[in-house]
Amino acid sequence: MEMLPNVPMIGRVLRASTTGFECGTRSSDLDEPSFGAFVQARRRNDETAIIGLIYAIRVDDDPLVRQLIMANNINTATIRDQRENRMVPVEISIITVGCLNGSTPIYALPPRPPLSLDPVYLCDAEMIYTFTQNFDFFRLVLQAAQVPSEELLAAALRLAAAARPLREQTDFLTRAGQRLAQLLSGDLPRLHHLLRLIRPESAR
Amino acid sequence: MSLQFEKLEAQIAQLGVTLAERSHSAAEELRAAANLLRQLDDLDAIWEQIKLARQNDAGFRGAAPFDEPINQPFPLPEVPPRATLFAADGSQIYPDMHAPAPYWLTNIGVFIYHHGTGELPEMVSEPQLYFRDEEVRTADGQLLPANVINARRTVYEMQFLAQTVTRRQASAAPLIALCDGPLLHMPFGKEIPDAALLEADYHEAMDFLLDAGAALVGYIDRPTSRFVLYTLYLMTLPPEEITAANLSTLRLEGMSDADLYKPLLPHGARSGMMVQQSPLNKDYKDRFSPAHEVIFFYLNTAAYGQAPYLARVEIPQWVARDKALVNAVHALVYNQCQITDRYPYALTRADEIAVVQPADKRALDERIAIELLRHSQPVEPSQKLSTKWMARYGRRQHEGV
Repeated sequence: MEMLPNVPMIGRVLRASTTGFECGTRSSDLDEPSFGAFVQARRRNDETAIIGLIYAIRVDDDPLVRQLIMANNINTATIRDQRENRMVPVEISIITVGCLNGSTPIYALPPRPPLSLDPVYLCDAEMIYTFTQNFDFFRLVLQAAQVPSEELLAAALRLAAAARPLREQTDFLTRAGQRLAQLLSGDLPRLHHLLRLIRPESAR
Repeated sequence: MSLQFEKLEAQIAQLGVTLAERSHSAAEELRAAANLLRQLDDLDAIWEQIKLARQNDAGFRGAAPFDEPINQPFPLPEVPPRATLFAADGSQIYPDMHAPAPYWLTNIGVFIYHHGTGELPEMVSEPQLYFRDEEVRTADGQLLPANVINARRTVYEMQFLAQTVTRRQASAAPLIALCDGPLLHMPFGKEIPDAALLEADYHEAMDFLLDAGAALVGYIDRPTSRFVLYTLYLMTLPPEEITAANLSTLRLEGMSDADLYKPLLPHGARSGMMVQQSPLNKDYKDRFSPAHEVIFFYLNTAAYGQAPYLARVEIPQWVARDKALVNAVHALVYNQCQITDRYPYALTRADEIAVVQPADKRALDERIAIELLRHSQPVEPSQKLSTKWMARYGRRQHEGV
């Protein structure tokens, strides 16, 4: 797997717009990416990293896979052949939540989307820490119609909390909850659901 | 414009009626044939009749028993704990006068399946481009016809299979070398310019497999052959009526050996081994080696509870003489057919490795055009092809993120 220093590549851009992009990868490389993970795409010769959140991971089928599911005799060799040799494609959908220019976060959509075949990497803990110092990216997620926004935001906040030292985690989630309370003051059922999802372990 | 189905409706209805009538009459004949087969226990009597047909030069093309009864099922043997299957398939791009340059291509794929282990199967492929004038054109300057390329591809498949098996002959035994299609259908007619050479190469590759101790297998899915039906008809003739004229009058519309054996073979069972009586098979035996004579059996590849589904499995005599190897072929081919649905998994994958998709051809044409331009050669794309391509593939749906 191709890597930036310390971060694994999860795929390459298939389709993109300024609001999001999809990247393709092989099923055998599906250990790293997870729902809610922070990812970065970089255009060639561009210092700015486009930051996004994974909101869907799809494993495509094909007629042979469908036939094998009905088989009487599927075994380890066949499963390995399908996963490692046949390169069953996996598509990962990402919503754009901002950019990082060096260590400066920008909580707005990028001026240009990434291009086809640009590599997509996971963000390391330091990038996540830097990007989530401010919660201005919440709006982009909450307003996106195509994503499960509460679950996505909660998963991203849990990962962002885990990127911090233990002593900062509860405070981080509390501040995030306060910001959500401001944004969702007119939609209490949604707020209530989100707050339950991000409640720290110590507060349960 | 797409097909105007309303103009075809009456013809489709007539097709249904005709096939139903044929099927009804075939079912009657098949019942009679099945009764006759059940009584056919005496292998010597069958051979006597076949010898008479040969003496009378009757052009008999049926099946002769090898060394087993032909009217009994042979149940599924135990599958070997370990084995290595090598499945080969090939595809080609024919020469195209609309391409940027005249060329043809073969792509042979071999899929290696390590039965009984969780080991990752292997894939090897061998693409080969032919572009020199003497490779692409016939003596009178025409582009090589498809049947010449098919004959060469058949030989290249066997050669690449033999080469791959030989290189890995230390793999877990038994070694099974599986081809898609019959072993006994050499397309080496008079119209093939180098037929004798190709035929010799084909048999040399078979010898390599024999030397490697591998079992060569030709797999025919949904066979339409009628060898046994011809034999049954022969058995009904009195000696004086075994003539070419009589044998050529047999009409077996809508019937095949597979229909005959479906009620006889439970799932996983095979028929007795038989020898196809043909000048080509005789040629294999007499001119090359008795070990190359092709023997076959029918195999019900359906799983328990499924309707019978028959394949014809061809093996050379060197495999047929070794009962342990025959059992291994029988069990392993059936085992493969249970991974996918009644067709060997290894052959499905070999086809996938070998097949050249239209998109691959377009990409290859583009690369050739770029290479020609790099060398300042004129590239004039065929207007006919470009326009057709736009009409067929130009429409696309836009997909959002």
